[in-house]
Amino acid sequence: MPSSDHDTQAVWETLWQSLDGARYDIDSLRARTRDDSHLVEEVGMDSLDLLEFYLRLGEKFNIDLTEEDYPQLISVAAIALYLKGKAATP
Amino acid sequence: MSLTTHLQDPELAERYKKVKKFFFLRESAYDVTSACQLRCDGCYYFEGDKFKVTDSKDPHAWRALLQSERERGITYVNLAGAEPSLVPQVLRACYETIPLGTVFTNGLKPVDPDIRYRLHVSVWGDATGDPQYRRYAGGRPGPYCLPVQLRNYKADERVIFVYTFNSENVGQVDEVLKLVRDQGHQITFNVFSVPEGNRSGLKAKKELGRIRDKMLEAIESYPDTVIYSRYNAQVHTRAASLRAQFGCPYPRAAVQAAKQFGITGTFRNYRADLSYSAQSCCIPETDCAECRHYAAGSAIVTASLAQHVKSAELFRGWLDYVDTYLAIWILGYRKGRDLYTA
Repeated sequence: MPSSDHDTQAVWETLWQSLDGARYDIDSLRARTRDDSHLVEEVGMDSLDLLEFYLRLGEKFNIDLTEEDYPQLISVAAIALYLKGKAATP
Repeated sequence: MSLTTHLQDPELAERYKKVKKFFFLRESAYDVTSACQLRCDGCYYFEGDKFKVTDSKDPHAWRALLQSERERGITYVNLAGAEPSLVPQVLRACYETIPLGTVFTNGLKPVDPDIRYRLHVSVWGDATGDPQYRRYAGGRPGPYCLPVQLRNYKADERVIFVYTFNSENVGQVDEVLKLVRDQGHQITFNVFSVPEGNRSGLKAKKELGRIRDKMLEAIESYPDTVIYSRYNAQVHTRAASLRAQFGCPYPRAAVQAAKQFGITGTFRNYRADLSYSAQSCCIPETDCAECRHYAAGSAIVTASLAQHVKSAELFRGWLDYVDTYLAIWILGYRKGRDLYTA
């Protein structure tokens, strides 16, 4: 999980919170995932994990994520980029 | 209000944890035969042209299809019809390949006991209504299905009865509830959802309030028999359809709306010839503006978590809905008490 970017780190932390209590081996996931790992195909998140993750992201970064946004939020790297774009928008 | 706020309530957190474990399930639907003994008023299967296919009756072909479905991540199959019990060899091939799923049946012919799918046995009315709404293929009044169904599935835990409310049969559920309870079975509810272009008189509009009241009464009077929640009763009897209330993730609706999430990218509705359409939907010919179908709601309401975290009461309703949906679709899953109080 190599990243020095503050947002990226915060996104990862939110992702682990979303998976807390789920059926995953979180330690194993942490070891094998990258910033650009696909959230469904590689991380293995199911639809509720994703919904919870997006809701938590919205809270954490104080933004409104809508269903229209979901298809582009496919990896931690993509989400960090999206957040940067949001921050740059006045 | 937010999800994390709601999850600080131990009761809500516990229920959320309970339901969350089952979201790994990824569903698709399969019409396994175009044959049926009955022609039900407004049957979605015999609308449109999907019944005009040459059935694949070869279990090996079905096994190969289900194997490829498993490889693309499908873990739960909905086996519908016309009438799936008429092709037992296909059901067996499906079960041996993907062992989680539901068979939608009229219950007139039993599904082999070692096929451990959930069985949704359809009920349309009492002794007067059922034969009128469900006729034989030749047009004469059909049988009263419920006594046959109860005989075929005595003490069979795979079964849940599904009573479809329509404009005429609201009061008829009383007789059905007693018979189902007396046999130790359970029942859930559906609301007749008219296919596109169909002018069936069974479409409920001004009766929706009465249907809701009857559902709530049944939940109170038959707590061990009725698998339904107060919130289910609310959302399935509003003037607005499920899609109008929550949007819809099935491909037919979601692709049109350019919203693709969850099952949108994976759900397919296969026909009996093993083909499928990009416009897939759990009940493909249903008029979305009138859709109050229980199967559709299981995906539509469940996927609308964001709309349900706006208040604690709505979140309670969502939890009840998902808890109910899992009890209906997962063999052995037990529904908890309702949390929604409105």
